[in-house]
Amino acid sequence: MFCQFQQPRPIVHLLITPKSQILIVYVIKLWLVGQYVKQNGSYIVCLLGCYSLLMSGMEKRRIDDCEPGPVPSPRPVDRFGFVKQEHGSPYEGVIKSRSAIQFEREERKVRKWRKMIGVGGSDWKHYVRRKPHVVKRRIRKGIPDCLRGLVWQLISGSRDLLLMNPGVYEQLLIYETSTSELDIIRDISRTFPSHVFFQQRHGPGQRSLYNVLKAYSVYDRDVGYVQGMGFLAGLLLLYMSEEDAFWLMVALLKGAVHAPMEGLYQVGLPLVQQYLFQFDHLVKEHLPKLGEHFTKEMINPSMYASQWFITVFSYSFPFHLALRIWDVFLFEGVKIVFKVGLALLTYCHDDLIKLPFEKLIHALRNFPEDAMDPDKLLPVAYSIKVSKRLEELKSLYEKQNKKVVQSAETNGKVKQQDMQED
Amino acid sequence: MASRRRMLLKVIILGDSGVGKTSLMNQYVNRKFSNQYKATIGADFLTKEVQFEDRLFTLQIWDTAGQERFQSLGVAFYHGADCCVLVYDVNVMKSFDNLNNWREEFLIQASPSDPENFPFVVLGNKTDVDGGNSRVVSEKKAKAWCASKGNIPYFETSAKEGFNVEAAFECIAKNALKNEPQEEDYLPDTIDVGGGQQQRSSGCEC
Repeated sequence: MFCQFQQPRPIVHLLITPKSQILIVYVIKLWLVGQYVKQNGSYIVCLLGCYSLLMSGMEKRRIDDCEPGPVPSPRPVDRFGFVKQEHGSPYEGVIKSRSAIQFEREERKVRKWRKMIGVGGSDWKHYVRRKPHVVKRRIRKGIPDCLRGLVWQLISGSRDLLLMNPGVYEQLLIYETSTSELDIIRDISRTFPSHVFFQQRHGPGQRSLYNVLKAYSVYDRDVGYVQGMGFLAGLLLLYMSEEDAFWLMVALLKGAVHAPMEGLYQVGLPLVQQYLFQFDHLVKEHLPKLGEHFTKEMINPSMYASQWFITVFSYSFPFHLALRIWDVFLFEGVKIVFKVGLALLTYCHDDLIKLPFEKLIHALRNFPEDAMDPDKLLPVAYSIKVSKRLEELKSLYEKQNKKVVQSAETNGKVKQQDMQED
Repeated sequence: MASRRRMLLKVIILGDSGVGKTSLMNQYVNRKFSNQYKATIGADFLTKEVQFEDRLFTLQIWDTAGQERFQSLGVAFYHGADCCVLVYDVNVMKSFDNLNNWREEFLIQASPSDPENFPFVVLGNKTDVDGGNSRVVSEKKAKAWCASKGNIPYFETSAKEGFNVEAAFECIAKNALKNEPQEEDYLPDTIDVGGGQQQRSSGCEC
């Protein structure tokens, strides 16, 4: 029974035939877990995690044993597994190959991190208690990609949830049915469609994505499945197994370490409304001139920032930036989303302030390449202080919302529209 | 300022998730179709310049998320719309049945001044699928519904093949334009947006 859902989550299946004289080289990131599974007389290397493929000058053969159907054409992918745009990714310059010195620096960083985490994360809690500021500083610099999956589970509290709930994921997946199943299926191929892992119809990536979302929709039937959750699950699945990804979603939405975020997806999207209210105020306070310009052009954050909150920047931002944001998001909480949002507006302030409505909306959805460079953007974000004001604005929002709800009760039925205008 | 606003036609595309709203918008504006669209979260937006009777207009097209739960975010986009496009998938009965909900929801949220005569256009999309063999909503049925709701113009489209998309949006633009003259009279009032909203909310609190 266990095996049924514990199918390895392979990204690449490689058939290595003994007579093959061609050296098949797939360079995979350090931390990949290799499982050799005997199947149909051939060894399939099932590899988990994100990877880069070095293809130049090498012949390779891909065999898709598990899934029938067309094998996606081997188009070049970036180091995260996203298919490169025909005209070249606009962010290519930012993530181009590293020099030897950079490589060495990376290695040192990984060694430091390994020491901090301990074997399988055994020293982590102790270290965080002893030196929280060191941990915070290191996370803000970016978690090494090869340790990201593990560290994310440690800082989000999901590892504890997993250990406390053995067999629960299996139960949800196999024995329960969800009313959201068709909705989930409809969106599967529309989640990270340009990533090799999720591209193949009914392939391992799509199957894992379906499983995690279905399990969650059963786990919390009030939330069920909402568009946007797929991008969270998809991002996590590139760094961990289905069951780990599921518990990380639980940790986030139910609030294992930070305030629960299920309100992002509940009926009426109450937390999205609150975040947009807070962000609107923050823009006006931190960037008064731009705030004024937005008001004049009738732009409000629901027109550009709802995706930022609903998917925590995983929907349309360059992946390497999204990952860095997620590092901090999981450790410090949702305030980094506000900070990054404000940093983007700050960075592009002088351009945005000149634009009329249509161009403004376009610009707010297509930030320039240099603004998307994590090493430029994130220091700006870190320098913006929002914690105290976020608390105050939350109280203000609750107070105003309560008033509206009360008046709605006394006045009988009131349109939702009025609530949102208040 | 006022004259610039008058040249702007705002169009909202509504309909169930997966019926092809994003594809229709992109086919019309960019003449492109992709199998790789992501599910729309919140709303998306494109503009296109259109010429009509020697006048140039900017068609501002808002593409919305189809999942019901996102309707609470829709209010900001519905307001001030000149035409509402209702899309369904001719291969999915439920997406057709839901047109009524979408229409009513829009009228409630956008509260146009003359709801009876507010211009809608209905598009039955994905006529290309399986060579038309998987179709479950007949043209007759769709047209009957449109007729019952005040003769809503109806088009069958294929965003994938670009079939009828141009014609449909031409009709959408014309209908949006018909809605404009009232806007001209009432435009000076709407400039003071803040004041108007305050009045409404205080009205609701007492």
